[in-house]
Amino acid sequence: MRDAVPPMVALALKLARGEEMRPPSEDHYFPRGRRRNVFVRQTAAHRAVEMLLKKVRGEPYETELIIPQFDCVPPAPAIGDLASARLVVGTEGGTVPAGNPDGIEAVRATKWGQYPIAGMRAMAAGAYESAHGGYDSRFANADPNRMVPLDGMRALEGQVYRELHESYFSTVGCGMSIVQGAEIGQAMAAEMKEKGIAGIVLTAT
Amino acid sequence: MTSVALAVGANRIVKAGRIPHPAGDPDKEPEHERAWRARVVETALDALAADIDDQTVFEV
Repeated sequence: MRDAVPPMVALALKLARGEEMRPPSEDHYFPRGRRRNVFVRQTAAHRAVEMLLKKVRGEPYETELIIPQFDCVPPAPAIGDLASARLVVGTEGGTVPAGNPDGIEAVRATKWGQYPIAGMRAMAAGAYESAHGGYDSRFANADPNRMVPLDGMRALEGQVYRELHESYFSTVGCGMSIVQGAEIGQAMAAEMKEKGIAGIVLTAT
Repeated sequence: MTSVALAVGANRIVKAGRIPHPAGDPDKEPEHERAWRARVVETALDALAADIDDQTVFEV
C-alpha cells in the first residue's frame, strides 16, 4: 500500500489537472493496449534496426507494436449423441436478409444477428445479401447456400442429427479485432446454451 | 481459409471451398454442387462428434 499509493496519487493529481498522461511505464499504471501517434526524429526503419541490434546483443528493448496473443481454447467435448442433438448453422461471411436490417458493419463489425429459417429448405437467391466487405460477394449472392449451407443441413436433419435451430447466426469477420471476435463468439455460445443447442456449423471466409 | 482458422485457434476445422464460397463450388453443375455441399456438412457433423485433443483439420 505504501508503495502503491504515492504513484496513484501522483497520477490522480495529473488527471485532475488535465495534464497529458505518459506511457504506463513512466506514469505507473496498468497498460490498456492503447496506441497514440507521436512524432519522433528517427524513421521506423532506423528504429527497427536499432531494436534488432539490441535484441541480437541481448540488451533490453521495447517493442512499439505488441503482437496480439491468440487464446488457446481447449476443444469442446465431442457431441456424444448427435442423433438427439439440436444444431445451429452460421457464418462469419456476413449473409444477412436483403437490406441488412441490423446494419451489420462491412468491416470491424460490432454486431451479429439471428435470422429465421424455420420451414425453409434452402437459402433463396435474392432474399439475402452479403454485408461482408472482404471478399467478392457475387458467388454468395447468387446462391447464399454457399455461405450458409442450409440445404445441406436440411438434407441430414432428422437422420444424422435431430433438428436445426429456427434461425441462423451471422456476423462479418472482416478486420475484426480478436477481442471483438471473442465477445461475439461468447454471445453466440451463450445463446446456444440458453436454447439447448449442442453445436454450430459455422462457415468462415 | 484453413490457415487463418488454425492461426486463431479454431479446434474443429473443415477444409472445404474457397474464400467467397466456403460451402459452394460455382464450377460444378448445381446438382453436383448441392451433393458436394451435403458432404461438406456431413464432414462438419463428423467433426462435431469426433473426440479431439488438439486442433484438427477434417478433409471432405
